[in-house]
Amino acid sequence: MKIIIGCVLLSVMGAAVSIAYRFFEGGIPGISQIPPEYMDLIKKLLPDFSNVNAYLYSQWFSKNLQQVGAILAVVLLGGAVASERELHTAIFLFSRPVSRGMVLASKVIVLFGGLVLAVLVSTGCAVLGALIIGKASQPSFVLVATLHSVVALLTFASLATLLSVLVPDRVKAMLFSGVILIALSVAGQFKSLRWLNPLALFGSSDLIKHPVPQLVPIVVGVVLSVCMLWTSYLILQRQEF
Amino acid sequence: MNAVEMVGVDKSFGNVRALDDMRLTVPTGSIFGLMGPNGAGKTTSIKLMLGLMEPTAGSLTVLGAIPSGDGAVLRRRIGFVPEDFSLYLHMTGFEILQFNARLYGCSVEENVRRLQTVFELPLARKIATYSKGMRKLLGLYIALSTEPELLILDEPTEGLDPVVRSHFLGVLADETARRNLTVFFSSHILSEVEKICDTVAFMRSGRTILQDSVESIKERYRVYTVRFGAGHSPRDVKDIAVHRERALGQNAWDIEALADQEQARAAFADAGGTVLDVQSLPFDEIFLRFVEA
Repeated sequence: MKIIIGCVLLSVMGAAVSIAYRFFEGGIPGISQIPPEYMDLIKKLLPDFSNVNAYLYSQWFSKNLQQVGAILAVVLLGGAVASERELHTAIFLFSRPVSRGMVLASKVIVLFGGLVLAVLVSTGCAVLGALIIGKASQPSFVLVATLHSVVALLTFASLATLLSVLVPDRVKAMLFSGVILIALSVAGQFKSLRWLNPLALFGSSDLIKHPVPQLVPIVVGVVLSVCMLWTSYLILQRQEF
Repeated sequence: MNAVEMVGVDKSFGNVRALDDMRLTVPTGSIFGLMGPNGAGKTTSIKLMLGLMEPTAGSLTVLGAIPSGDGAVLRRRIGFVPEDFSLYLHMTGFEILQFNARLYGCSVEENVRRLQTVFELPLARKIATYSKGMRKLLGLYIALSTEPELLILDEPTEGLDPVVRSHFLGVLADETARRNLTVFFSSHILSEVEKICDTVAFMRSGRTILQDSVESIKERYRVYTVRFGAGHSPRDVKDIAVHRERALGQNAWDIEALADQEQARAAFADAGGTVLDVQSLPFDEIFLRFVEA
């Protein structure tokens, strides 16, 4: 149910973001009246309206999909193991003839799959929205940006999985995951700590210039995900129920 | 081969020693009752048997395998009904039986058909609509549906009304009679244990203080009224373990001991005593004697 709701929500957002481009591609009305001293800050916050690829990237992939997708990842995976303990089904489940690794793997595979599905469907809706307004984004650009988004969200999901194993309360696990991501994002606003910001790491503006997979965020995302999932497995193996 | 063998098992949680040199032998094919007060370590012992925890020290084998090492493979041969557990409330009774069967890698249609005539549970309804008693029965239903070799029940009838409790025990007795099933259950409802168990173990403070058949305990635990000659007292009694003594005056004592009667009489005679009377005690009284000591 959470996957379906997440999918629907993101899809509606994706379509709306793309369709909204029609109203903004000529610029936002009244923007020229903003005092120059505030203009730089405003430009940083606004998406890039120069072309549909730039707009999709700076608004959909870099902001909406990552932010809302991060919430979906945390909600889905934050309760993966924690909910079993909280609802007292853990002792039933782990006393069955199935290894803890298998239980964790099956939850991760299904929920990660759901997350990827949500990304693909919602991005499809974003592309569809662009087509509806008569704009066609480059397929290679969309594919690469989607790959970055998938890696980003799976990394956030891996963090939520780890917290779900550590914390026997799903709400707390979700909250801690969210707090960590927010804390990293805030810390990453400082220039010297920019590398900490997960949204900046996976939403590099270089992509707008060259729709080629960026090695650093993909490798970092994959390595972090593997480390966090492996740590989750090791912790779960040692837990006592 | 015994179904369960625990030798010198310790289990600590930080500074708390839940099990302390725990020893237990569960014969294959028996109905074994583990009895003890709250906090004695019954549930901890069960969790160790299932590989849900690892012992701090000692040796533990279940059905010839080590639970922590071969956990998932071993659990395929075990059915378990926990004390305090929840099932997936959004599932129906039938769905959870099928889910459980998939985890065990077996088909349960035939067993479900047979067991349904016994349990008569509304399997088409969601578990959320079941009463507490029905959920406990469903737990047993699930455990039996995969034809385990060893059935482990942790306080299975706790909180159930007498009707459901009787039904539960009846099903258990029928299943053990039908095939060579070893049943291990922990309880502090003494009447149940006395009624259906072959062998019992009394537990206190993390260790077994007595293990024997129910009949043997009832037969051998006696209260002897003994008059000792001048200069003699219960302290002179050797060869049997005196469990409790109470002075009656005029050098007469009530002495409680777990021993063959002939052996006890001989021991008292050797200690300068004459047995005036012998009385038996109800099983629950015997249990209390041991756990309160």
